[in-house]
Amino acid sequence: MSRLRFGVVGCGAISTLHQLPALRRCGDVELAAVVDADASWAAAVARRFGAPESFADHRALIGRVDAAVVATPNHTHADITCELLAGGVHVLCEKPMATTRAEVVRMLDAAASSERRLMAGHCLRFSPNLALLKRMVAAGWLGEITEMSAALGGPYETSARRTDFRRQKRFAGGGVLVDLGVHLIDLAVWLAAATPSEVAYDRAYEPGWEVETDAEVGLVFANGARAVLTASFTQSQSAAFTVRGSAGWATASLYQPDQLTVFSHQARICRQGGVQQLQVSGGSMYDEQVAHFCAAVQADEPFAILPDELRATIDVIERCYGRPQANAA
Amino acid sequence: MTHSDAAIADRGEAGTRPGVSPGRAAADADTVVSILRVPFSPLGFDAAVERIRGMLGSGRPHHVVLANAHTLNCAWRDVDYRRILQDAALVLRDGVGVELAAALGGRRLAHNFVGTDFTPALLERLARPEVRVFLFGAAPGVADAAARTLRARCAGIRVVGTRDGYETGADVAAEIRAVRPQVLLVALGNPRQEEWIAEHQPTIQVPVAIGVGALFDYLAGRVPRAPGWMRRARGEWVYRLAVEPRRLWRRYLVGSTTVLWHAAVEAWSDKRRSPMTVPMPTDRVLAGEGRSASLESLLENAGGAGWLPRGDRIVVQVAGRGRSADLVACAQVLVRFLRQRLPKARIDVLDLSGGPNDWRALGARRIEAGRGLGVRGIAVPELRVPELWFQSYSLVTVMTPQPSPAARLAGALDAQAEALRAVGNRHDGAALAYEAHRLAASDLVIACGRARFGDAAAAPWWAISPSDVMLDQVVARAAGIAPWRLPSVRAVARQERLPECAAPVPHLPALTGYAAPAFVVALARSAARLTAGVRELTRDARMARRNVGKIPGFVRRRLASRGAA
Repeated sequence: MSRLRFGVVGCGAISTLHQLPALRRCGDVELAAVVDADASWAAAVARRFGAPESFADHRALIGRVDAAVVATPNHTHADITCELLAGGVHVLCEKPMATTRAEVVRMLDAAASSERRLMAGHCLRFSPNLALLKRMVAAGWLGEITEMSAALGGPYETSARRTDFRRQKRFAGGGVLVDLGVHLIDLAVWLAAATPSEVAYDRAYEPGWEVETDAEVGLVFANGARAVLTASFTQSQSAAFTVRGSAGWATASLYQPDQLTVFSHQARICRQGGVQQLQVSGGSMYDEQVAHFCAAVQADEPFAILPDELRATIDVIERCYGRPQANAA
Repeated sequence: MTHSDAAIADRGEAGTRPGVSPGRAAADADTVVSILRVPFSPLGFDAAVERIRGMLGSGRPHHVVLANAHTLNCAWRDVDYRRILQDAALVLRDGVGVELAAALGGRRLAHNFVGTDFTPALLERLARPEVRVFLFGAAPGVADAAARTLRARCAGIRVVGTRDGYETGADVAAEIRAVRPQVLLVALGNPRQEEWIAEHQPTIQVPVAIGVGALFDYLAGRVPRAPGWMRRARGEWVYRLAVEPRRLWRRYLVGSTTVLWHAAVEAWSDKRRSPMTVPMPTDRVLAGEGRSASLESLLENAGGAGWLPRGDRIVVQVAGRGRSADLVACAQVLVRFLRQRLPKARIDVLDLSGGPNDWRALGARRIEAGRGLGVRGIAVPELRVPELWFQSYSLVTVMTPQPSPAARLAGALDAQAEALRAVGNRHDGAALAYEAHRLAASDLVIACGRARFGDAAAAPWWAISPSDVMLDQVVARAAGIAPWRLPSVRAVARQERLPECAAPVPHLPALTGYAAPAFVVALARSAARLTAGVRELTRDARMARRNVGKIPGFVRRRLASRGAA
């Protein structure tokens, strides 16, 4: 099967640090072009990553590429994605997929009507330790899931970022909840394999921010599982996702993709050897994500991230922000 | 005489407690109470009947012993007789003497299986719809009269033959075999009846053979029984002594006193032993040799000792190394036995040789160890373990000890480590053996082989233990090696206190050809060290070359940056 010609829209930190290196490493990908609103920066990035062309407008990709990574500020995701899909380009859209439920629905509809594929870049799902955790949960090693807890984030200033859109509501569409919290909500929905029936939310604001800088979300799922998820732009968090079940628990590091700690009183190895610290082998989650995207597109198979899960995740965010629900409206 | 089984069951407790399900009661009772080294099963009446009913259906020969104080006395004096009792499928207590001996050690055998009550009641229960019985023993004519009484009591008891006890030769065995009874009652008295059963059971193959003492005389009405109140007050022995004082005074007065004395001494010395230094191996390893035992009877005994795996899933791990027809046959017998004993359990076979045997025909499923998962180990820091280990199951390992240049004698510990090799660990064998022991020690290990390694003409032997490291020690002893010379045993001993291995295990033959010569082991070790050294040197040289290659570029960059500055 021929390689997918890829374009990258938005050359910020996520593209230059993760997506472009992952695309270059992937054998199924030919990097065809990069796009950035700043044309000179786009040209520099194209030179650095060996892309033959660079543009200032994403529409230039239509007809030139098979697929594109959309990694622009959050409020632009929906328009860019819909235009690319309509132009016959498969899209891997960075998280958060969009800032409102209406946008998410519009994007999913655009994909359905265009016969092109759309996947949201919830990269943590492709982290080897979390993928193994999902397998453990699905195989029942931990019993029925009763509780999940996770925390992610740290002081915002310590990270180098080229586009500082996150502080402003009109670009980001929300605060730490949509930036980091969305990872945790997506993981919780995925691991619980159920839709949240109840949502509780609390947040805090730092001076100089239009959006929340600290968020805590409580979820109750239809199957009875509960989750407490914390995301912060101010406090260092544990960066770990813990799942407790009726038969044991497991904690996966969100920063060290090979670390997973497990105890299950059903597992023979834990009954004899106690808590096990697993060292999970596997590639970078961005590499795995791109490889999965390419494989699913080429074989026309469903993505690991399902539209219903994306809808459930944006529903939680909408409810946290107190927006009226689609079915309530 | 009123011998209703309900009356007997009233006296037993384990199987009839209200509010306790029979399955749970049977599981609770699935331990063994050792009195003067005779393993008694603390079953209630119902549980014992069910156990014996299971034997009827198994198609294999079993020996059931009703042991009284006299039996214990004989067993104490005569080691060979004791072995017969130890090899029996089921030993039940008969009489107040054994109860007292048990009580001296602080143990309890709740139900009293008085042979004269229990055997007819057992036959009545088994006779629904029908049971074929052979009566052998007592004076001429007595067995026939006893047969008439039994038939009159229950129509389902079909007496297929009788023979008096004045002829005990091979023709009796031939006659019994010809009529194929399901239950054989042998009334030759202790210890002759047990010895006769042990000697002839391999040829007659009766599903259940029971030594019944004076039962036929009672059934024929030749000897009167004590009144009911006397029996209930546990004083039947006083009555019998009064009726036959010349025959019984020595047995009852001297014999019983001796047994109680020995039991008291045993209980006292058990208490004095500190739990850290108790040499236990003979109690924790059962062995048998092909001439006198079968693997099935050993498994029955292991069941009596409470060693059989529990739970709803059992994995039988069949070692790949040293695979032979014997090993496969042993695994098949085990699977069949487990299938019958635990009809609801799921039995999976992890055949590490990848051989083509059809386990499905035996009611088991073949499984793979699954992919490897990395965990932090102790002897091996980066260990890969099979995914299977994260599931819930009981594990039985079947293996053949064998000579090995690396391990000298590769035993159960090394066999368990095969599952780790199967997922790609390439470490030192002893370190892997320790990790397999630490993380996935088997609930039961069965070793099998021939007295001379690899010699199909030599007698087969089996050894069963709930302890992998204990089994290896015992097998090493039998093979003439000090256990601590086995690297795997040493690897375990480095991390945990090993149980002592003091006495040789009865019925385990001397094993020849099981140990690689010491010089081969030394050579193999030197070769391994040399290979590891060369590998390290090569790696160092490669790394040095790579680093030297970086120097010109580094110098160039430094010079260029200086020039720019």
